[in-house]
Formats: sequence, structure tokens, C-alpha cells
Amino acid sequence: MTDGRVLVTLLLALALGAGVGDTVAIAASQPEPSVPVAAASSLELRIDPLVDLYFFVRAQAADLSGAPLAGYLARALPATWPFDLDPR
Amino acid sequence: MRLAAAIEERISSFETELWPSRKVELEARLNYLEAAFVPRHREALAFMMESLGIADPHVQVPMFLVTRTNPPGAMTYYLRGDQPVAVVEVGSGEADGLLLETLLHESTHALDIASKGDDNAFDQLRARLLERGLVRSDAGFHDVPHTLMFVQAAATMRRVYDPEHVAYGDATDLYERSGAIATVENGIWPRFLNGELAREEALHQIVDALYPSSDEDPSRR
Repeated sequence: MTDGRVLVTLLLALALGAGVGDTVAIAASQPEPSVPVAAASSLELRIDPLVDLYFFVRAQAADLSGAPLAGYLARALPATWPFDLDPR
Repeated sequence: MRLAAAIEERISSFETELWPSRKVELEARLNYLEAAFVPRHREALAFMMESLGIADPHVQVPMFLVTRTNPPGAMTYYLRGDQPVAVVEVGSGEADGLLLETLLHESTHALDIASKGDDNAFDQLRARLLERGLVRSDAGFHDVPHTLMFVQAAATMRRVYDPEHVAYGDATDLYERSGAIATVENGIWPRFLNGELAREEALHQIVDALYPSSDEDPSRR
């Protein structure tokens, strides 16, 4: 597991485990009776400081791709699939 | 250890100096989406799954709103067990309709991930593309189903939220960059959604138009 994946594992474990005090979770509303068809699946919109920080760093790395730190981050943090923690 | 200390210091300053204003910005967008998007989003998901032949996987998809991220600005990942999770940049400068369509687009990725193996429209498209000789590393193997996700999300916006919605692909240069794929899919998929074609026939026509079979009657091309 790369350093980036370790970081993401930590962030997601914290964020999805609702262990972060500042996490705001808004559960999707139940469908109104007037809605004719509603999926059983739903979305849960969230904001979380750790996730915001992580992607803020990724954005900075993308902006500053010539800088040494950004170069390190670009290599250390998976470029496209950082949440793929399944070892298959 | 010095690196760890430096990171810890930066995280601390993020939480105390940067996060408060970001939290205000994100909560404003969250409140907007809670009012404008969430109440009908299950209806939108149902329409998308019905259109795309996706069996409802009964999942709740966490969708993290962030102030900034690297391009393309919205991504869907999966955790162990194919649990999808999405991240969407919600900059205040983006038009509301485009933000809603982006949420639907990422939802499509999430539903595609969660229903893998259910022979949905994307699976059928990928199978047909392989039959036509494409390999998984070909751009078309990714772009054909991915562009259809945009076309379906825009159609869902018009069907459920706003009949006058301008597609993300038209409002940006996405469809222009997609070229023939966007042109073909925008010409065929709405005919399926309007009941003029069966889904399988629409998928067949899309692949045929983009990658004609070598033994196909040339007069049909």
C-alpha cells in the first residue's frame, strides 16, 4: 500500500466512521408521497474537513506540478483511483 | 518525522485558519442542494436506473462536497465490497443546473459500480465494443459509455428537475471534445427515452454508427 493509500484509508475511515467531530451528514430525505417512482438507493451529501483538506492538497499538487512537493505528492497519491482499497 | 510534523502542522492550520470559511461556503451549497436536489433525487435515480437497465442495488452513496479538487472536479471511487463513494467540487461559480447534473452523473458511476455484472446498458455497450475489436485500453472503450452517462444525466435533469436544462456537455466544451460519440449518442439515446426505440436497438445503433461491423451492408452506413 502506498503512502497515499495509507492517508486515504485513514481519511475515509475517519470520515465514513462518523468519528470526526466536525463532520456534517445530511441524510437524503424520504420521498414525498406525491413522487410516483422512487429508488431504494439514495445519496448522502456530506462535508468533512479532512476530505476537503485531502482534495485541496490534490488540487494544489495539480496546480503546481513543477514544484518538488507537488511532484512528490503526484507520485505518492494515486492519480485517479485513491479510494480503491480493494486488493483485488 | 520532520515530514510528519510538517504535515501535522499544516493540517492544524487548515482546520483553524482555512476550514472555517470553507465550511461556510460548503454549508451554503449543501443547504441549496438539500432544497433543490435531494427531495426528488430518488425519483431521478429511479428514472436513470430504469433507462439504463440497472437493477436497484439498494445502496446509500456517500457524496462528499469539497471546495476544490484536482481536475476533472468530480470523481467516484469504490471501497471494499464495491461500495461507491463520490467527491464533487461545488465551487460557487458553477451554475446550479450544471452542479445538479454533475451529481447525477456521479450517481450514474456509483450505480454502475454497485450493480456490476447486472448486464446494464454500460455492460452491454462494453461487450458490444469488445465484439467490434476494441480493447479495454482504447479510448473509445471508456468514452462511449462515459459520454452516455452525460447524455442520460442531462436527460434526467430535463425529465425530473428542469425541462429547459442545458446539458453540461453543451454548456462546456465536453460534447465538442467528445466529437462523434456525443453526436451519435445525442441523436439516438433520446429516441429510446421517448419510446421510439428499444434499449438494445439504441445500443446497437450507437455501436454500429461509431464502429461499423466489417461485414455490415455498406449501404446501411
